[in-house]
Amino acid sequence: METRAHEGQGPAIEARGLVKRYPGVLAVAGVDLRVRPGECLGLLGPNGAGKTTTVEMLEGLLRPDAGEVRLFGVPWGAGKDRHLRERIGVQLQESRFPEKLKVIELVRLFRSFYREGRDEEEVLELVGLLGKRDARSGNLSGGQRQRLSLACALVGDPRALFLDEPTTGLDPQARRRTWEIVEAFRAEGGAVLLTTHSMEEAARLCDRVAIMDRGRILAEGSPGELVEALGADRVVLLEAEGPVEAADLADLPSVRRVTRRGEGFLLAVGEIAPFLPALLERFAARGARLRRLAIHQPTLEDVFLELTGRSLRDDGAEVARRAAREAAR
Amino acid sequence: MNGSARGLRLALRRNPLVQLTLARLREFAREPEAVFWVFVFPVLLTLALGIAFRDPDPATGERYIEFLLPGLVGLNIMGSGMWGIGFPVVQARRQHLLKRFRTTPMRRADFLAAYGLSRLLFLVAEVIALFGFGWLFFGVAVRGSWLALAVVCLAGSLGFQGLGLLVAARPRSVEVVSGWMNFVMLPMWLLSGTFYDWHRFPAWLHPAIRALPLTALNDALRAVANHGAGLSAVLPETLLLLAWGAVSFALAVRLFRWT
Repeated sequence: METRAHEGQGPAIEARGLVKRYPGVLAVAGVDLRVRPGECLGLLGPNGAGKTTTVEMLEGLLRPDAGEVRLFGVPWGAGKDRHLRERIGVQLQESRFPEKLKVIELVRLFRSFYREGRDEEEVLELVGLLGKRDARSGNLSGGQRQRLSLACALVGDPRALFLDEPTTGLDPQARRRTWEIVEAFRAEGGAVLLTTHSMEEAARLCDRVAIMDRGRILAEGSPGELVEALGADRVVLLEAEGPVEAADLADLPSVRRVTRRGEGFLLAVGEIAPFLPALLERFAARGARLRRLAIHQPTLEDVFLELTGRSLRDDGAEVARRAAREAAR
Repeated sequence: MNGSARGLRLALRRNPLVQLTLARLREFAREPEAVFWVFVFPVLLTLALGIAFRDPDPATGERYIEFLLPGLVGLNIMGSGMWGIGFPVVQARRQHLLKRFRTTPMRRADFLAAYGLSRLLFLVAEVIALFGFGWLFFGVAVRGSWLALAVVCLAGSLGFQGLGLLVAARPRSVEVVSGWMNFVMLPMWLLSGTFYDWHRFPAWLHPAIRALPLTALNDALRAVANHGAGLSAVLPETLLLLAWGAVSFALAVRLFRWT
């Protein structure tokens, strides 16, 4: 087909200046992103960061208040929406299937919507559900339902795949299997956009990661680049018992940055060897005790923490902080 | 021969309207409660009322069951037309299935037509079950033409499907849609002459009662079944039902919420 010849060149998914407002909330505040064929971009952020709203605009489900989305160079709403839908596969995080329908019936139903696509049983085999072919969807486990959803997204033989938290709630084995499917899809030139709050998943699957919070992309790059940009060889998490302030830690050798973290401190540290003895000395001098000390190699989690001041998983932290601010007034 | 049969099978498998309709039929058939309310309950109701009112009225010589049966058919067409569309649409919206469908190239028209088509298949079974039961147990005959009966039932079903789709166009919860369904159907339960003649209401109410779709359906069914009316005699009621269907369908499509 003519369009296939163009595919290698332009981005499969492209968004510019996306904005979405809801009453009283700026859900997405100007997002730009591009995914090329054969590439996987991960949107990483806590709940409420605007990931799902962004993805729904990319999928043509929501109309942005400002900005533009193009898939394979074609914008939504230009009279070619059906053509675009033929070429994308979407897995929604919260969608449920009619419980009384069987696995094969559902995959066949989705297959019937596409002019061209893959064989239903072949797709079931791919996601490891062929053995559950005749089971009703209501009798599947959570993980099996996720894979059924993935099968329905793949059965139209898409060129771009949108996955909203595809492995949330999966056991490790099913998780790995999903990753392999996504990797195989990419290897064949498919573009993938996935949202996740699993660092492991982002690091494993994504060529590039966009870290999102409060409707904005705060940083974007390969997982390696993002971690490197932290400028730390090691990340040190410590809690003190006694009079130790951030300023007491900032001037220790090799320390690049100090952030307060709950009851303790988070330090980005260069070389660890000169740092440790100096730290212990400083504590001894202040008469403080080291209650907790953890040293690890920096990960995407640390990048996220550094950028947003909160952890990916604890959605409660923001609420607690806001409550504390209110109380302080 | 074998090859062409397989070709047909594959064509049906790849046809979205066929697959969507099959999905509706399967979901219904695998839901024992739905089967009970649509098929068993009306027959039980007919049985109970038929036994209670089996003797002819000494004044007119007519039996109540003869009057009642077409009304019960009308009531059933209203209930199954509205619930049969409204409930599954809202359920699918609540479970984000509608949203998921929207991400595929599925045509809206196929989606809506599948609901209509599956309802019509059930309609045939419902009408035959009720009239067949009335005929077997109480000897109630359909005096008019079967064609007229079929056309009236079809128009009635389309009318109430449109209304059902309109009521289900926006709600996100089954509770809300149930409330609206009952709100819309209750006046017709009371006013449209299912269990008694609506002419008993004061005359100033008659124009409003006459405009209700269930009144039109009941009147047309009685005209055909009890008085042997032909198609032309029930044309006004048929057109009124189709108009209800067309207007509410058009509104429903405009208001429809996929998410």
